[in-house]
Amino acid sequence: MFVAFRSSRRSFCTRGTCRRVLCGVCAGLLVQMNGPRAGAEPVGEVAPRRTENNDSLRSDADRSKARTLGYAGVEAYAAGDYEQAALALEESFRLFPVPSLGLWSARALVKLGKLIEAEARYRAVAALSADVGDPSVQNAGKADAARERVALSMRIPSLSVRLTGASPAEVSLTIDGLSLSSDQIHLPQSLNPGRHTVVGVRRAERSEVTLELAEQQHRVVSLRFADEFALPKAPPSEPTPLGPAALTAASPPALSPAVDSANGSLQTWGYVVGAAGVVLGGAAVAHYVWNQGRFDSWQTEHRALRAERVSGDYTRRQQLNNQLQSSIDGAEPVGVALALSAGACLASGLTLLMLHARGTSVSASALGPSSAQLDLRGQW
Amino acid sequence: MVMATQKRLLFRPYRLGLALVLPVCCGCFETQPVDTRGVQVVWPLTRTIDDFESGNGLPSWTLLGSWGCNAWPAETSAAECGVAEPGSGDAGVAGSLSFDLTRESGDDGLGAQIYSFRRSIPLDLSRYHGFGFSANLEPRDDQLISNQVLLRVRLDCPAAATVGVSPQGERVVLTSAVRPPADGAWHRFELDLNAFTQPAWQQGRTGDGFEWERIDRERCLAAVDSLGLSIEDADLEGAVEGAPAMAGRLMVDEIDLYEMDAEQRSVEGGLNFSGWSCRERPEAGGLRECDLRRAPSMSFTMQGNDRGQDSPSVVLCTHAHRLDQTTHEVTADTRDLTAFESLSFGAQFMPDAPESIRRFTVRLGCRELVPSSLPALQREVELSAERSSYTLPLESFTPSPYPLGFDNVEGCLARMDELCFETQVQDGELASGTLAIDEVVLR
Repeated sequence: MFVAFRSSRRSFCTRGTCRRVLCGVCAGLLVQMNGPRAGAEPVGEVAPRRTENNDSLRSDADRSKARTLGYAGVEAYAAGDYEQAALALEESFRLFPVPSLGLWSARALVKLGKLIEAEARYRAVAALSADVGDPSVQNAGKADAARERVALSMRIPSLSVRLTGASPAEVSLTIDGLSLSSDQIHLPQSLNPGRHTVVGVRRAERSEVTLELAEQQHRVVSLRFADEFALPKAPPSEPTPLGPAALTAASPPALSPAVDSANGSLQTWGYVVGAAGVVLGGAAVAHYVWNQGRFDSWQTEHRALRAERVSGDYTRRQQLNNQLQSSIDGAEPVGVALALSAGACLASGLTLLMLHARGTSVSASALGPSSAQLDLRGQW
Repeated sequence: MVMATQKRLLFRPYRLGLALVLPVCCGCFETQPVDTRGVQVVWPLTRTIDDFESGNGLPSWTLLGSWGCNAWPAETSAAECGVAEPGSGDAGVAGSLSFDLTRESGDDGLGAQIYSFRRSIPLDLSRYHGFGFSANLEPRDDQLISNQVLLRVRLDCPAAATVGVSPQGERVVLTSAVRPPADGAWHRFELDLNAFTQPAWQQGRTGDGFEWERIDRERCLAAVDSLGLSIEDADLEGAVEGAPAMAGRLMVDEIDLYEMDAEQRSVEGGLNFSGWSCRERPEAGGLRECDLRRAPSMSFTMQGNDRGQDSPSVVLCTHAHRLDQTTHEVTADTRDLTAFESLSFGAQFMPDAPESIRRFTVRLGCRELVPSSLPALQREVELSAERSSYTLPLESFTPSPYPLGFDNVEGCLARMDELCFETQVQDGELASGTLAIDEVVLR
C-alpha cells in the first residue's frame, strides 16, 4: 500500500502541467498518512469537531480512505472536474480535517462558485492545528488559506433588502428560501454569485424579486408593499452600510431592483416605448419617402428650369420651385428628429425589455446617472 | 443568446454611431434656391392716340373725331392741317399744321393749333401718367425764332370747371408746353399729365372783369372733351417781346398716352425702356395690329416676295431712352448689359396659318456704334403657340451680318439701345399670326 502510494506519488508529481501545483499537497498528504499527531483539531463549520477520543478512534481505514479521496480530489481538480473534486475533498477533509485537505477543499468550492462555503472552509483551515504530519507543510497550507481567504472575501457579492410600505417586523423575508430574521433585514447579506430570489410576505401580500449577482457586486433590493407598486420611486442613493461579512469596500454603487409588479411595469414601459419607437420610425420613413418624392420633383423641375425654353411662366415656376425647396429644407430637421426619436425610443424600449429579461427589473425611473452608468459598464 | 445578439448588433460603439448618423444623413437633401429676380426691363403701356399712318385724318384712338385746326388772331392768321411726309422715325406720314400768323396792334398773341374733339363720351385719361408726341417744327423764311415759340398741349374739359365765368367763346383748358427747336428735325417729348395746369392767362380776372373758371385737374383728366397741340407766340408766358409774325409748319406724330400698371410700378431698380413699337419693312400693310396697351403684341400677315427681292419682315421693339426733366425731350440712350449673363422673356406666337412654330430673331441693337447700319447682337429662337419662358445666354448672341465685319460684341453689349423681335418671311412663304412678349428680365 505504502509502495503503491509512493509509486503513485512519484508518477503524479511528474505530470507536466500540474506538477508544481500538486507536489505540495502530495507531500502533505504523505506525511499526514504516515501518522497524524495527537492534538490536531481542525475547527470549522464543515469539519466535525474532534476530541482526543475521536482522534484516537481514527481507523486506518479512515486514513486510507481519506488519502484515496484526497488524491482523487486533487486529480479531479487538476483535470478541471471541480464538482468531483469538491465531493472527494469534502469527504476527505471530513475524515481527516487537516489544513492541506481543507485548503484544497476550499479551492474546489471556489471553483464551483460556492464562495460563501469556501470562505468558511478557509476560516476552518485557519483554526486547525498544524501539528499534523509535517508541520511545515501544514503551516504553509494555513498560510495559503489565510491569503486566499482575504482575496476571496473581496469577491463575495452581497445583497441588501429595503422595504417600502412595510416595516421589517411586519415582513417575513427569505432569500433563496432561507428565512432572514427581522433584525437582519437591513444588513447586507453575503451570497454566492448567481441568481437569487428574495421574497417578502406581509400577510396576504407577497413581493418577490429575482436577481443576478455577480462577483464583487453589492445590490439593494426594494420590496414594495401596499399601493406603491405601479411606478417605483428612485431609492436613495446614499451608500448602504456594509456588514463585516460583505467586506466590499470597493463594491460598486447600488442599483435598485424593484418588485415583481414593477417588473411588469418595466416590461410594459419597454413595450410602450418600443412601440412608440416603431411608430416614430415608421413616421420617419414615411416622412423621408414623402420628402424624397418632393426632392425628386424639385430636382426635375430644377433641371427643366435650366433649359433655354421653359413652358409657361419661368418666374412663377421658379418661385414655386423655390417654395418647394424651402419646404424641403424646412422638413429635413423634422425627418431627422423623427429618426433620432425613433432610434432613442427603440433603444430605450429594448433596454427596458433586456433589463426585464435579466430579472434585474430596474425601473427606468429608478436609474440614477451613476447607477445607469454602472449598469451599462457591468453588463455590456 | 438573443440578448447577446442584440448587444452585438446595437451596442458596439461604431454601429451605434452609424445608426445615429445614418438617419441624419438620409434626412438631408441638397437643394438651393434660384434667384428669380434679376433686373426687369420696365416699359410703359401705351395708348396710341394717332400715328397718322392711316392718312385719313382720323385718330387711331377711335373715341376721337377728325383732326381740325385753327389760328389766331383769326383775322390776320391762317392755318392748314393734314398729313405730310416723312413721319417720325421710320413712319411714313405725320400730322401737319401749316401756319401763317400775323399780329396786329392790340392782339394778345399769335397761335395755331391742331385739335380733335371727342366723338361721343368724354375721354378718360386719369389712368395715364404721360403724354408723348414727336414734333418737327420747320420755320418758313426766318420769321420763326425758337425761343419765342411754345408747343402747347391742351386738354379741354369744360365739365371740370368750377367757379367763375369764362369769357364768351373761351374754353378753360389744362395745358403743358415745351419749346421745340425750330430746326426742321424730329424731336420726341413726353409730358407728365399730373403737371398739366391752367395756363397763365386763365388765372385771375380779365381786363373785362371776368373771373376765369377754375379746373380741377383730376376731374378734367377723367372727362376730356378735346385735345390739341398748338404752336404759340410765347409772350403770354412772359416773353419780353412777342413775335410780330410766325410762319412755318408743325408736324406731329406718334401721339401716345403712357401708363405704368401696378406690376410695373412695383418694380424697383428696373431697367427703364420706352414703350414698344411695331414696324414693317418695307411697309406693305402686312402689319395688321400693334397692341401695346398690355403685353406688347403685333399681328401680321405677310407674303414672301418673289426670288431676288428683299424678304419682308416685321419687328417689335423697345428702346432705351432718357427723358430730360427740363425740356421734356426724350432722347436715345444706351444700357450696359456687360454685367448680365442672360436675357429672359416670356413669348408666344399664335399662328393664323397652320404652322406650329415660327423662327424669330432676338436683336440687341447698338445703333450708336454704327449709326447708319443698325448693328446688333442677335440670335434666333423658335416661338410656339404655347406661352413659354426663354432664357438666352448673352454669350450665345452673335454679331449681326450687317454692317459687314461688325464683331464688337463687348462694345455692343455695353451700349445696347434697342431690343427687338423680328421675323422675316422667306420667298414665297405666307406668314400670319400674333407675337406677344412679356416679362423681359436680365440676369
